[in-house]
Amino acid sequence: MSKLRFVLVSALLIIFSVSIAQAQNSKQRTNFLLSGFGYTNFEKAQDGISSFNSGFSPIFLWKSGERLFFEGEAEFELEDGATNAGLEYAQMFYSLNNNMQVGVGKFLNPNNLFMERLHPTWINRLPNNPLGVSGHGGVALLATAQLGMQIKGAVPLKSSKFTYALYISNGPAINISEAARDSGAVADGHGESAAAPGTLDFSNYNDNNNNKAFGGRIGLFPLPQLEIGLGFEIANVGGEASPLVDLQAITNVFDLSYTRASSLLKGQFDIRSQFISLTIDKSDEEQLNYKNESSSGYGQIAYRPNKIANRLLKNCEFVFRYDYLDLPEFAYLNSDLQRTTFGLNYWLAPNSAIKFAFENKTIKGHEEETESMFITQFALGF
Amino acid sequence: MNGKTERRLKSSSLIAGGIFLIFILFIIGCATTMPQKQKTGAMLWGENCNRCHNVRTPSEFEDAQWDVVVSHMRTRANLTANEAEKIVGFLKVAN
Repeated sequence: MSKLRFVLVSALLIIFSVSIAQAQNSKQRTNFLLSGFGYTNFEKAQDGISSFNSGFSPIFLWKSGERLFFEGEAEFELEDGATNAGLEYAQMFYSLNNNMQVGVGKFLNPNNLFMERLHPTWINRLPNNPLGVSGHGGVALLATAQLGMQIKGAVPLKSSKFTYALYISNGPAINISEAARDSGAVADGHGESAAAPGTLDFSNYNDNNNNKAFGGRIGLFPLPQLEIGLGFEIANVGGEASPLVDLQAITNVFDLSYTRASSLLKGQFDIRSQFISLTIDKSDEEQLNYKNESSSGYGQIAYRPNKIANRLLKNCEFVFRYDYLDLPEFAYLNSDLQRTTFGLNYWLAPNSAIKFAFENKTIKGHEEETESMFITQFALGF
Repeated sequence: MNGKTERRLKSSSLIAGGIFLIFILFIIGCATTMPQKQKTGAMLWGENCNRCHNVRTPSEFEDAQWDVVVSHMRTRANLTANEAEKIVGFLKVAN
């Protein structure tokens, strides 16, 4: 399997290199655009201290000729008293034909709908991400981005089409216990990681093994407004020189998106859902010796009465989301979470909104406890 | 049956169930909408852009900028080159 992936990667790199050379030899015109989004949050947790937060993500886009395209996004956030700068993605694309593009670099995880398309603050209908989705606190079952190469595109089929994405990337690394790491029993190449044992480290920029993760997604459109996607990833997550080298993680994702304007109800409905299942092999190593299965999911409905006459009300949007995160019973981190969120957005323009959200979270660990939080967000896409 | 086999069986069942559901919906969908190749730029703009976010008005960017924006959206939303070309054409005319 590893040899097959090596041959596949090599073949794609050769095709990509030849294609770029051809593009550079042809007459071309370069266009550049600076885009992106920014946000400011105000959060007040129950029994917590209220606080403002802010950040922005400039997106750099270059189009070179008809076939070459580069996109890169930086991310600036305020966290723990410091300004964090990050590279969200940076990838170069080459359009092979009408139905296929090849991309190399760091790219948004294409095996799920939310991270690739719905996470920017001016698109996301609520101020935060669903549980289990990477980024900004909490345990993640999915990577925000992959570092590798991908092919993606779409194929028309009569009145519909299907879309596809396949990638090979460094993939995640398993987080292991500090004791095992310190003793040298498990060398995973991630000695600095402080994350909980048994979870995955998706910042695997210097790959910890020679195995490359293989994943992708297929999306179908039974109706123009309805998209249904199935995603997956298979990866060995242990360190190359460790007993965990064959430890495998399998991710399955199901997502659904339905958007419809209704004359009868004088507005637009927006329904989103995503389910993630992550299974990691059981190991004899310390703190990995249990059935390591996690899952998360969310369902969200938003309604905006944008076809009514009242100018104030037509810019309002009402949102409800239920999401959950189930972690393995015997894991170091094993609290299950359930959350319900009610939101009210006021759209100032198609690309900017003020959002108000109230969330109620139930944490089921050794004892059950609930937390509530109020979040306001001003989001702007530019 | 060991854990790995059980896990793969479970994953396979999930995928098979999903594919079956998609197949049924796909068959239904094929019978009710216009052929993909006949769709105009305006129709494709409405269908594809609005699927994820509020549509941006054509006047928001200049013609050359729309070229770049739609190239970005081609990678993000998995558009075909023909779809992207039709959408850009519509945006430039409507701009």
